[in-house]
Amino acid sequence: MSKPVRISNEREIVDKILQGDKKSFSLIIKATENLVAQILFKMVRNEDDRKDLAQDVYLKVYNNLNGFKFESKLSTWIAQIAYNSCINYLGKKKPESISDKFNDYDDDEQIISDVNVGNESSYYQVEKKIQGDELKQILEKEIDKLSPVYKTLITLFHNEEMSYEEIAAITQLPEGTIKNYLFRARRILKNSLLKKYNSGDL
Amino acid sequence: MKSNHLTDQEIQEFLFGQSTVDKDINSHIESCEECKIKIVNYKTIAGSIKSINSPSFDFDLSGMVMEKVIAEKPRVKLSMHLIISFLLGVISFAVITVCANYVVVETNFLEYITKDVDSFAIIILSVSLIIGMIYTIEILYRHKKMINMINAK
Repeated sequence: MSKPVRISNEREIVDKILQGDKKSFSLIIKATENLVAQILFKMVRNEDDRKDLAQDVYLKVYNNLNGFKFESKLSTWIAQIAYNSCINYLGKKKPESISDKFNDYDDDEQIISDVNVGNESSYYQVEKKIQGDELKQILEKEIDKLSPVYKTLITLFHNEEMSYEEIAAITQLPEGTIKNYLFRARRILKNSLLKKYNSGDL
Repeated sequence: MKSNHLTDQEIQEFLFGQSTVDKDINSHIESCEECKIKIVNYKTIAGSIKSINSPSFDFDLSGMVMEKVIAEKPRVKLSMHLIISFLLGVISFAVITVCANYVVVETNFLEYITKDVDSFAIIILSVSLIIGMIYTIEILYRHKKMINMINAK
């Protein structure tokens, strides 16, 4: 993984680029590509499409840089462009992909009803039995089963440690909706793990 | 103190809510083993998610984008073309009308402008010329900026 570059003065870099210093744009790419990768990997499964989208995102950023008003962090603005590009991409895909991006998990309640408090106590023991890498791997697979939007929200909140406000700026979703989606996503993950353990898969 | 067990929602709000938690919920958690287990589960999940390695592109994104950025030609928006074309059309029409009348009248230009052309036509002509000049200056400024961007390496 390439080492992320830190930009100390965003305004200075943006001004330099707008005045013709094209090379400075590579600093912006290097500083934000990990965040863009997080979003693209969660939203888009196809590797070739991801490659094209990543380039499109930065070309959009470059062509619209004079419209950036410094009302948010530059990385937030770029992440917003990445997220919107993914949503547009999913919208152009086949119908099942469209419904999948905002999957409302009709079977969520079924999963929940399958789990009782007794099972949750068992999960506590699982947590003691399988730790570290194994649990991480299982969880990684379970996260991958979530809808693209749920996956992205989980990643932005837990991996990137963003606030609800920042996530709202990126996704243009109301904070209440973000909290609700995150709540449901975490509950799905927890119950999937419990169900998996109780069915003897673990 | 809250007597019922905490719901998933209350537990998640307690752990990830980014706001202060009700005192009743705090004291319930301290005394309830069942709810403590639920909290440990969510904490474990959150901790494991955080420890998952971040994905990264296996290609030189910066290199690929920069190649396109450097090769990119300046683009003037279509709306700008339309505005410029419209204004140039208005100015040309006004100038041609005035000049054609001048040729027909065949008199001193200053005399013709002050006496023969009505004031309304002069106002339209003047406003068109001023707008045209402002846009021309702006276009020249943008053009200079774009040329700088193309030449910069």
